[in-house]
Amino acid sequence: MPGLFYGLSLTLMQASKFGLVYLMLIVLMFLSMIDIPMFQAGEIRQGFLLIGLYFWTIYRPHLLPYPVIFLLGIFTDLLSGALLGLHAFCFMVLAIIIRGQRRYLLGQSWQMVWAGFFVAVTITQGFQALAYAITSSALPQLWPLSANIILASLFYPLFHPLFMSYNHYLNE
Amino acid sequence: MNFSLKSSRKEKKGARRTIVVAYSRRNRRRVIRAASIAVRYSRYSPMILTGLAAVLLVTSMFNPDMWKDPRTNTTDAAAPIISAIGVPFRLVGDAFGTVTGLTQIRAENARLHSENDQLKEWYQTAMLLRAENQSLKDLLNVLPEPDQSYITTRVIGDSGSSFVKTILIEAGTLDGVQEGQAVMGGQGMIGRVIEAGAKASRVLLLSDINSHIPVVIEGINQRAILVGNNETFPELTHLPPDILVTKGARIVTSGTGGQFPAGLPIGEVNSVVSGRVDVRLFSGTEGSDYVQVVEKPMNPSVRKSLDILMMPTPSSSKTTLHR
Repeated sequence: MPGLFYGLSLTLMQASKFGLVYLMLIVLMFLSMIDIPMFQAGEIRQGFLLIGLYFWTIYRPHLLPYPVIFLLGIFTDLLSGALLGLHAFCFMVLAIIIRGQRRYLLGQSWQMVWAGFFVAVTITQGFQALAYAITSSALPQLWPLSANIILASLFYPLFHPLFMSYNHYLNE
Repeated sequence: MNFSLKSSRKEKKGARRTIVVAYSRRNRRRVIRAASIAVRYSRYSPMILTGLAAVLLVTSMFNPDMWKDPRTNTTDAAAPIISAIGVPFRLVGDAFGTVTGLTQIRAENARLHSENDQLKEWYQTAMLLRAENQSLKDLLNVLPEPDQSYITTRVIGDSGSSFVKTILIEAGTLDGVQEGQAVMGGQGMIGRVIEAGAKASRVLLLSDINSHIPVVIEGINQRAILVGNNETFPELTHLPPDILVTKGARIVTSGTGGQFPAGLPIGEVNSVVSGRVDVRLFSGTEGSDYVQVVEKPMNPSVRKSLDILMMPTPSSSKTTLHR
């Protein structure tokens, strides 16, 4: 009987450890939509969820199967008022690309991983700009778009050590 | 007899074993089939899901209202969570504002004193003008403008994107919010309600590329359309080529179409460069925790007839007394 309880508690602990990753992603998704007084500009916050998706796709891909990524994208679209399917499409394309390159990225320094995130943000922002250019029949301006990409990328080094230490904790 | 019994038992056992073997084979086949489906699915699922996302995207690009109901329902369901997650950030923001604000209070106080003196003079002028305006309206028998009522509510979220300029407010149809209502910030109009859920609503800001508002330039009384461009300063379109627009001219709602009340302040002309007229909005969304939703204006003639209907008649007053 004590063995059963020990086994059960161990399983629950494991589940909660991995479940916290999903909780982090959900909180990041909501954070990108909350009117935070410190970060008024939307362009700074829109990379939050992308940071989580990017990191965990590289370091724990089994925790983020494609249907989960798709659902996160759909919820982001529904909650942010964006075109339905836009984030879902961007996240899916990114997940496919990142999974293809993860072996390479795993062996690189965090600066290189950050550079990879810059590329990921550029792809997402570029595709979003294209989609809105088609719907509004107006070309997006290059400078604000570049500024958005840079600002969204700047936040990655803040999250990377936190996620990395949690990733090490998951290994224990 | 005994022998026949034994043989029948053996037969039964054999048959049972055959059934078990057949069952286990069938089971194994099922497992293999399920595994092969799972492998096939895992191989093709990214493609299937990406395709599905692309289909959803194309449908919402060509028919944005197609997914309005799921969007409104999701926003409604998530509004309490968004509001709850935002509480600590609001508290930190308020505390930060209080600390930094203490150093500015002295300067702010001096500025407000001088501004108050000026406003007192303006108040007297405004009272005179109001009385004069009312007497002229009475002389001309002008139908009175309907009274405006407001719903004050908190901003709980925004789109978090530079391509969509919307905010989420903590009031819905249960509070009297309807689609199309104008939304005011501290100084002027900031947008209009585009989705009204039961408990939360989405507001399209004036700076969004899909925002088109009928306005009038005060002073020259020229009508135009204020069009958002996802930038800081929306621009005025549908202006005649020979019109002279000066910098600083006030822009207010024209009330055309009956969507918004006329005269809601929006902003002032910021620059006029080679025919392009940019408008600086009086009220941005930055730093505004609360907004006011303006109820739709009622047709004055409809209002008048309603007033007549609602006027207490001798019979109705009697009925009331009787009750």
